[in-house]
Amino acid sequence: MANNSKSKYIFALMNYSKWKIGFLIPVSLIAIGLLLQITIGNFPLHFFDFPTNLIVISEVFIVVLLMYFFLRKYLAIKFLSSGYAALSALVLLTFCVVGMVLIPQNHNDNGILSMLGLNDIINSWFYALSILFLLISLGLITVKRLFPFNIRNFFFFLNHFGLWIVLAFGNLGQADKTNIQITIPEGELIWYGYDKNNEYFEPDFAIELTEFIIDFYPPKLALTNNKGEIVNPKIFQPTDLVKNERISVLDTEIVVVDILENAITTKDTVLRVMGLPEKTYVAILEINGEEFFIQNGTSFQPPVFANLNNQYNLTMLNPEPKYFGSDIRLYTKSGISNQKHLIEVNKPLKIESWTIYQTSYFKSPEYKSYISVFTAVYDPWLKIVYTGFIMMFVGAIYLTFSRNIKSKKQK
Amino acid sequence: MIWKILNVVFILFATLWAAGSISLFKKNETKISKYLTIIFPGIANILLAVFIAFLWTKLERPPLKTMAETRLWYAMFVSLITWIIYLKTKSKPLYLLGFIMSSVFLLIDILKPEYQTKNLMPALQSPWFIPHVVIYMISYAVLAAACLTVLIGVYNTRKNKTIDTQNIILSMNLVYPGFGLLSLGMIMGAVWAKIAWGDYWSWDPKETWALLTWLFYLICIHLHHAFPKKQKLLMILLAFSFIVLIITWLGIRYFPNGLSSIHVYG
Ligand code: HEM
Repeated sequence: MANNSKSKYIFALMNYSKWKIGFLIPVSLIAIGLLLQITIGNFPLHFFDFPTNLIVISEVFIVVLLMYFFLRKYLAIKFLSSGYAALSALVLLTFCVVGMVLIPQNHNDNGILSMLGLNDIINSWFYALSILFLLISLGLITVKRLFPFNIRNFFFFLNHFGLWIVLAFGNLGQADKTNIQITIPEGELIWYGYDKNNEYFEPDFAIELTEFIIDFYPPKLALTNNKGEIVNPKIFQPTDLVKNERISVLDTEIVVVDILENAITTKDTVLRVMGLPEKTYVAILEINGEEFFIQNGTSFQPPVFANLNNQYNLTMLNPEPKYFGSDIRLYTKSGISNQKHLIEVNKPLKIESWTIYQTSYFKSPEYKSYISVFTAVYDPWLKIVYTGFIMMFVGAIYLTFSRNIKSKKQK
Repeated sequence: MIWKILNVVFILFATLWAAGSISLFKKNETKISKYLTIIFPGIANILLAVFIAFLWTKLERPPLKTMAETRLWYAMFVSLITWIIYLKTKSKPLYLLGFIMSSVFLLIDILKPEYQTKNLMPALQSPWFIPHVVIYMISYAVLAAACLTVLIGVYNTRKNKTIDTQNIILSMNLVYPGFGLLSLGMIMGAVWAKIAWGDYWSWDPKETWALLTWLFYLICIHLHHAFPKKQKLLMILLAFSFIVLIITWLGIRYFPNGLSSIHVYG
């Protein structure tokens, strides 16, 4: 690879200043990245679907091993497995992340930011190159520290190789990941969804939503100003509306006479209605011997509030969900049919290679009932990424409880 | 109601720490003053822990949901950790700074009360909720102690015109466990996010900031390990890392907190 004059040149440079090389590599990687970005556009992650990603990752892995075992004496390799390269790779990645937090990552913008890939750093060439640099340097460092094999180096291995796995498979594994959103109104059977780019996708299963189950916390009384904003909690803290309780609001005593579920009001009458698409409550309040009705707002009716004085209104906040989940029937192409399941928040359903999550719900005027929103994820690399997480987790426990610097000072 | 009790708790807490500080800086140290220096903040810690326990039972859910609630835990852990470090190192400035920092966080809660609610949205009803947030809070408190230590180091370095290696070592000895806990909190958050909405990492601003904080401390660790002579740079970087941490926590809301209103504090 490196001929004699080249390695002499590198040697001279290295002696001159390792810091400068540590600075030059990331700068040139950014330059190359920007050039590729301008000419090709975003990093073509979709080319790296299985088996390409596995091949690329294995290649990096093997190249790292070869570099270590056969080319170790070359200064370039020495440099890449040193603290200089480690810091320079880390700083480069940190730069990318700084960009992500400081520059709006707004993919639709078409200006200069978009041309340079700065508004979508996660899909940019310089992010990809910085990960590659990190993988090579981190890989070399990990192999180097495998010898001699002792407890300290074992935990070093867990931390560093764990991160290597997460970076490699977490990033390139994305190419195989499918993440679709499926929205199902109660009573319907749906066999398709939309992916993150809003493209139609048919997984190999279908879901029928038998029932959407939702449970709410009690409604709350809040004080709002004339603009409809909730006042500072120092003035009044929103309070649960409970039948027969007294609430004092700014020196005024309010009696909660009654709470009616599934009711609507028109300020002077209350109507109980069955089969409303949304949760509504009417609270009957007594203020200074006079009765008032208030009601939360819905998509079909604005909120009804009561004037407390000319500055403040008594308002009912929309009830917050306490629980929601879906009773479903599952059908798959491989032959499962009419299988009952309950999918809840934090309790996804695993079927074959997919996992289905209850992520949300909404109501639309077209339907009388709730529409349940599921996210179905196919992520074949998950187990490997989790292996990396577990290694890092154990390594982190060691970092937390071992006394690092004392022991180092003995060196 | 709850925040009125907090006023009392705050006054007691600050008085206890202040009393401890007075006996700490007493000219002629006696056995009793040494004893009081240690016992007063100890009681203050217990007081705060009892208040948090009270809040927990009162709200019927772990008080870890709103910013105001996490600040309570933070004040408790900063107070507890600086107290423990004092027991080990007898660093007077750290004692004082720990007292000031925990009191400031309690004071913010008193000046900026938040809308209290028993409600806990479904995504937060998870066994990951408590470990994830509590570990983050402990980590942030340990890293706060590391930052305070390094500030003392900067002060001493300027005063004595020689680098205060002692405090840098103490600070790094806090950065290692602090960073370890940060990693634990982050991995738990990732696993939880996966269970709750299907992705262990989705690059939203809060996660990205958390990663940035993590990377800054990672650089500190490696700078210190690989280039132990670069002490000035390390001191600057340590202080700066804590600024990034504070932005992550208070500027950008960092933990999953609800579904449609993901990451919005109560
Ligand atoms: C999970 C993330 C990481 C953790 C927790 C971590 C932790 C550590 C620790 C604790 C040490 C001191 C090792 C000892 O002597 O026991 C260390 C050393 C080192 N780390 Fe990392 N590190 C991480 C990521 C990285 C990355 C991304 C790189 C760079 C590519 C890197 C490169 C190095 C190097 C070069 C050393 C010095 C090795 C030596 O002296 O033999 N580390 N790391």
